[in-house]
Amino acid sequence: MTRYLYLAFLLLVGILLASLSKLQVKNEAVPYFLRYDSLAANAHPLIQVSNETSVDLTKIQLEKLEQDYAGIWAHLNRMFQNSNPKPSQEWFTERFYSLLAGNFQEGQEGVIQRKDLSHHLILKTWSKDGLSCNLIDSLARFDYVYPDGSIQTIHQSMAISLLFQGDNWRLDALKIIESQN
Amino acid sequence: MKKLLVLFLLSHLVSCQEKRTIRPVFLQPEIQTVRINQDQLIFKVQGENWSGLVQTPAQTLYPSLSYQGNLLLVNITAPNGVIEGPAILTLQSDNDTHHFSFEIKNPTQKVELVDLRSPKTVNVDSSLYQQQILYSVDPSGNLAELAPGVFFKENQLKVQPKTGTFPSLNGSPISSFYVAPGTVESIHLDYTIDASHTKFQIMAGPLYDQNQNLISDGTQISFLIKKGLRTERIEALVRAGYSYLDLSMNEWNQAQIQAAIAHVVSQELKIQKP
Repeated sequence: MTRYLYLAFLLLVGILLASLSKLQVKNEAVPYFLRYDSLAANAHPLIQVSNETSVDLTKIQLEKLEQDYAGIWAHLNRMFQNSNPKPSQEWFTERFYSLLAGNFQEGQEGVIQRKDLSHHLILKTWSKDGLSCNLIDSLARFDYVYPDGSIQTIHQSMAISLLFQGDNWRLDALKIIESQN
Repeated sequence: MKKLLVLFLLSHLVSCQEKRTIRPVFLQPEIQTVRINQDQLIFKVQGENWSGLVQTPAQTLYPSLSYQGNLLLVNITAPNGVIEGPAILTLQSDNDTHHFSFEIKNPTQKVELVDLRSPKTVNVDSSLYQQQILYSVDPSGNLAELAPGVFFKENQLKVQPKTGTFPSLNGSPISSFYVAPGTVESIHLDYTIDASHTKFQIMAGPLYDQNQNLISDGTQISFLIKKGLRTERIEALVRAGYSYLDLSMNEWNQAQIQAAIAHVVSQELKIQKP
């Protein structure tokens, strides 16, 4: 009799453990500080910065801006071929991200690749709290690589608004002022 | 026999060739700029097995395709609009891919002014100057000019020394700024006796800063109470410009009280039974 009671107890414990494991919600999102962004890490366009703001910037601030600006363009280049903004969420402000997310549709990837080769950033405003930066990217150089291997180089002049949110600079708005072959 | 052989070889050669579709003919070559949700692109095509995508500056979009006879109608839609600039439409049929370049634009939209303030909280004891950064954005994330060729403006504003939360030019919460009160200028002390004649009710206030704003709630105030050789220090907090302290009448009759906030100390107040 005791043996049956013991087996019944083990069965109950087993059922309880099984139901508990089913209740656990698996959160597969990796914490922000543990994520490795290979796109941003491997983006090394040539970036030149001229400061025309009223604020003196440190070398560390400028390096962070350059590094994040390269990351933003690495993700914009990914988005050029793709409609899904989710993997690039950390590089856009909530406003900009929600605009892209609202346009998202499933579909095949774009066949033309865009690579940013160089940027010349002219900093126009820098907030004293270090959370806003507006700049003109004059003569940014992009290569459009077509599936047949041909390359078209385009020079663009752009106005860019960035906000520092979370751990990095994020794109808030932009305007392509001029685009030339 | 020879002719038959030649015919056989020719037919074999033709059958081995990959079928190639003819490049779609764009019937509106005058169109250089396409407005999404508005303009329709028309191509003359062969067959009805075309797919298409548009690579815009910030995102790939998938246009809706429809057919009218041998015409392919392409409508580019994006509920939230696009980042305007150079775009490339790719039309695919089997293994054939054809590209068409144009400028993509949104239908005319209203722009919103973004007004950022730094610092967001101004303390009237320190500088009343605030940096204002202005730019305009349309609902699709495109920056708009504030003046011809000018996308960003920076101003140094002098804020009025009146405490509160103030909306900026566009009234959005992100642009609001705060003026916080400064340190108390002087401390006025007074007392009353409660109805049962058992307690002194000490009152410090109203407590104003140098600009006649009530000082911050939660400011710590120290009451120093002396009677004979006995001295006690009691901490209290300020709320709505006042701070109160109850003292037993029997214990503290004829005591002398001072209140202090930071470096500002009140005059001595003597409390006694009526």
